[in-house]
Amino acid sequence: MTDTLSIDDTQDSFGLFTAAAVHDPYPFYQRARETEPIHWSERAQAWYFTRYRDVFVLQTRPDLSVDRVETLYSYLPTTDTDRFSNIIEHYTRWLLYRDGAYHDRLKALFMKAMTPRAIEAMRPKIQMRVETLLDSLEGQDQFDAYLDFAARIPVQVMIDLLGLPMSDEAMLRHWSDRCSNFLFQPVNPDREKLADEQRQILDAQQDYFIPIIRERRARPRADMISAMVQADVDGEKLTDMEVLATCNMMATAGGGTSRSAIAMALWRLQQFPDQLAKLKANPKLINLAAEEFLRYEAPTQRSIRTACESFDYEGHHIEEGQILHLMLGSANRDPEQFPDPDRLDLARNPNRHVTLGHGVHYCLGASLARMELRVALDGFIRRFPDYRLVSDEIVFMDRTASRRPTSLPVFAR
Amino acid sequence: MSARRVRIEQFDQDILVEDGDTILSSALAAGIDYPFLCQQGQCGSCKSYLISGSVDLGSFYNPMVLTEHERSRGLILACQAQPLEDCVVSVAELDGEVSHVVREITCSVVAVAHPASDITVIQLRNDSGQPFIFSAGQYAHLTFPGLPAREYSMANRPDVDLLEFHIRHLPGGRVSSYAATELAAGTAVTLRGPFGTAYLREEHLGPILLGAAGSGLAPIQSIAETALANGLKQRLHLYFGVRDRPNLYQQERLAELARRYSNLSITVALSEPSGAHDLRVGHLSSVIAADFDDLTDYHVYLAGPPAFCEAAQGVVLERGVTPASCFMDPFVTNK
Ligand code: HEM
Ligand code: FES
Repeated sequence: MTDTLSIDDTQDSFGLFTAAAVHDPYPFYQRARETEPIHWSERAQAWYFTRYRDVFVLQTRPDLSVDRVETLYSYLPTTDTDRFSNIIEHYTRWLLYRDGAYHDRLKALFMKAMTPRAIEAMRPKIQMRVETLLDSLEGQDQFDAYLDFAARIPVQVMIDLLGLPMSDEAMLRHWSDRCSNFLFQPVNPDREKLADEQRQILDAQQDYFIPIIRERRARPRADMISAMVQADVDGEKLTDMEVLATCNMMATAGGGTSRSAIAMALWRLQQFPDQLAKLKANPKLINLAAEEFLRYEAPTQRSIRTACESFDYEGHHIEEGQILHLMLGSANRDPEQFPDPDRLDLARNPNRHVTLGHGVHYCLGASLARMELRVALDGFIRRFPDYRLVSDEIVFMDRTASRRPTSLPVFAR
Repeated sequence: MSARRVRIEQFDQDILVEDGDTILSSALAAGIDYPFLCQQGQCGSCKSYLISGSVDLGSFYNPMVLTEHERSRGLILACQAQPLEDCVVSVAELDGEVSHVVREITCSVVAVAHPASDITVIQLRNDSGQPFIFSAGQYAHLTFPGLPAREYSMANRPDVDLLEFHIRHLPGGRVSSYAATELAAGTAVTLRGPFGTAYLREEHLGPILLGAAGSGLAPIQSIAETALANGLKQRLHLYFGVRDRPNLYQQERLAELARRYSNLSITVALSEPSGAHDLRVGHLSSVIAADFDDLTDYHVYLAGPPAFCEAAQGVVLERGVTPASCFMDPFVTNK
């Protein structure tokens, strides 16, 4: 199965996979919610859940698995698969794709590094990175708020967190982009080419990370890699390859998503000038506003699960092994949960969106992502209070499972 | 519809929380800068102590973020808490710093011991009916009947009910002489606190060096026990220095801790030893200086007489510790 069908068949699955939905999925979600909120797509061979309450509840069901090994196999060329075994091995070390004890123990470990105090301690560093980027844009009449600003922040923050040299920024961003491209699969992928590229990247990552990991074992520092090598999970140390996989997971899961969130917030704010004015008048609103940005435009549009056993749900029979797509972006616009859902209301309170998931797989980087979003938006609006979009049309990457602009040209004033 | 009144100690403000609303959402609606990140019981930013009253926390929050143990100690998540009656709450952390409200509580002495020639260890029970909330490494003012208040660090973990203090006997010291000779179980003590900024930073990922001279062991013991109990996995080097063998105490307790946690190592040094022993010799700051040449990325906690703290601070700063990563509360020694 693949979650990136892009078929211009408006009849199938309410048009969720059309090019129009890549640009603006919300009318399609609405139609699905109103007509058949839970439906089976023959094309995608998967269930789609579009209402808030279903998405919320299903995210906490223990009999739904996040294991994606079979999906990963389906991404590989059908011949000569042995050549690509390191790809499967690598991604099965990501806790994101694991159920049960391995996931829980690793997650508990990383949550220690993501406590509110730890995130608060990162704030000055994030602020410094954001201000430096803003300085570099100062004086230009026009720049790309995605490429030159939003896209830079999360990788720099991750480099600080992992304790890597800032000079490796471009390489690490490239890796994270290509890994997410592989995991989300472009339309009509060339499987051979993509898998070969993955193999090379994973080899290069091994050359890069293993010496650093060994160095941290010998001489721990105050960074995330040191925390990983010092930790034991039930008496066992993480292996070098597990630490490496986790570094790549953090960079990949936290790279594309956060930068997309920052860019989409800057984009959407321009469509609601009253809300932009409100934020300018009251910068403290940013804490609540960040939640509304996340609700309004979810960088990850769906969580994917596999049924471990058959079960009945709201009059539907889900078979063991079937795939379920929990449509986060749709749940966030469900009027049953959010009054006037298509309105951006920065003071919305409470705001229990599902952009960062819910339940045991709730986003590990959620607090960090929020801090990045708060600091980046606050800094940007202070520095460029009169920014305007060069064009109302923005181009999104050609996928429906995640939402990420390709650029965001703005006039600085 | 009915509303409960909730007092938020740090903001010195009362809010009304309608049925079905949470403390956090009502506080934000009232314009209070209550800390939060997720509003979904997933991050812990809104963690607060319930000082009085009761709340319904529902079942949606993440049990890794608010553990059973924390719940039993009165911690709640404001973003989940729906008050069941009027409440008083105290925010656990503000802007990344602990934000405990200073309280004055009455306690009674439940145990007195003299484990070293110049040390009295006492245990206090909190009789006040209010929680006494502090972080490992902080101190309080203790007032014994008829005597002036003195500063002593809590030696126990914050989640342990009995409060433990180490009182060093200073020649001619009124309070310490009283503790060494007269203090008995049953005595009422007034405690005011907590104070101090040299508390355990659990978010630190690098190695930790703990240096305790004499009764400076009290806060250092609390920090070590808390760090290990809370699952910190990095290396902890605990250095404990006294003048001579008769001044040593808590040796069995520390040894037991090192047996349980392989990431803890303990080094004991005597500055003026008399007689046979197999311990390190020298002032503690010199022993630390000899054992480390690079302390980059360490967090260092120091406690003890000002002369020791100053000397040791000099040593660790020279070896790459940043001033912001060296924690100590300079104590004035009152006689
Ligand atoms: C706005 C930015 C972000 C968004 C929208 C986002 C979204 C999500 C979502 C929806 C999930 C749940 C997946 C599922 O249920 O299947 C998730 C999980 C995860 N995220 Fe994020 N994320 C963001 C930022 C980050 C960052 C900065 C990191 C890096 C530390 C990160 C690391 C992870 C990891 C490791 C998981 C797996 C957690 C688990 O399986 O227990 N994310 N994220
Ligand atoms: S705000 Fe995150 S747990 Fe309450």
